[in-house]
Amino acid sequence: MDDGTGAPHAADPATLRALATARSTTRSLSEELLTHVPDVGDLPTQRALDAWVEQAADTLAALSEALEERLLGLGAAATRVQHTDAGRVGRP
Amino acid sequence: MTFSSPGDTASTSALGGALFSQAGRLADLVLDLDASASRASRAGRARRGRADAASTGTTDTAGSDRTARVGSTDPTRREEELLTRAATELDRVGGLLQAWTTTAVESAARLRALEPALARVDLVVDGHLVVERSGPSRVEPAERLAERERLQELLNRVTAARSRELARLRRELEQSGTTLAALSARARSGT
Repeated sequence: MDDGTGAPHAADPATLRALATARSTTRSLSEELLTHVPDVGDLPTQRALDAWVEQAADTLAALSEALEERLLGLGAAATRVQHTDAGRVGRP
Repeated sequence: MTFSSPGDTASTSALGGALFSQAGRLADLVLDLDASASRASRAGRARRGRADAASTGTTDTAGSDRTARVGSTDPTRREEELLTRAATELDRVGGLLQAWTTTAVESAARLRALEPALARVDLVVDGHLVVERSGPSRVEPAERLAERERLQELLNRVTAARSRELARLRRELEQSGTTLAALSARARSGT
């Protein structure tokens, strides 16, 4: 992740917080979805619905993973920027 | 009277409602991410504008703002897009399940409405067929046959509407499942 110039983004704390919230929310939505046991009363449709619920839960979990990746990437970039800034301040 | 299983409309309605709610929560997450990125972008532009002015000794804030805008991108744009697409699918299927619940409840009500007429001529519904109740009947055979044909026609309308809706629901679920699978793949591949 960079800003178009090759340099990594140093995400602000609000973005990191929003990413952390999104990561945990998508994870819990994925788990919540699997607690549902719908019954449509028709076997082929029931199979299609069960498969869809599984897929939707997987997609929410995949989104949670993607958000975690982005969070780690931006968090690491922010840490690098802080270290660089600290180095500049320490230099004469 | 037996009818192909009506299912549990409360359970499908609950799932439909939960999907609407989940879609709303995903949309809220997108708004939060977008708002944070916009604030960060504005703050970054202001910082870069000040830094450029200090290094060049000029006050060309418009020029530095242009440079900053060109260089700045929303760091969570991809995630926002994936979340938006997932929210769209959850919302769509939530709506389909709510529509199916309405159809199932209406079908059950229409079927119940046939019960008095069936009982009057000693007929019952078995699956998708109107059949004679076992045992002797005092109903005139000709009248019973005529009623059987009439009630079978009414039952056919109920089952046809239900079958159409079930087929539509299956098709939409399969399409949505394919879309969600593609989203999962994109999320995990980082594209």
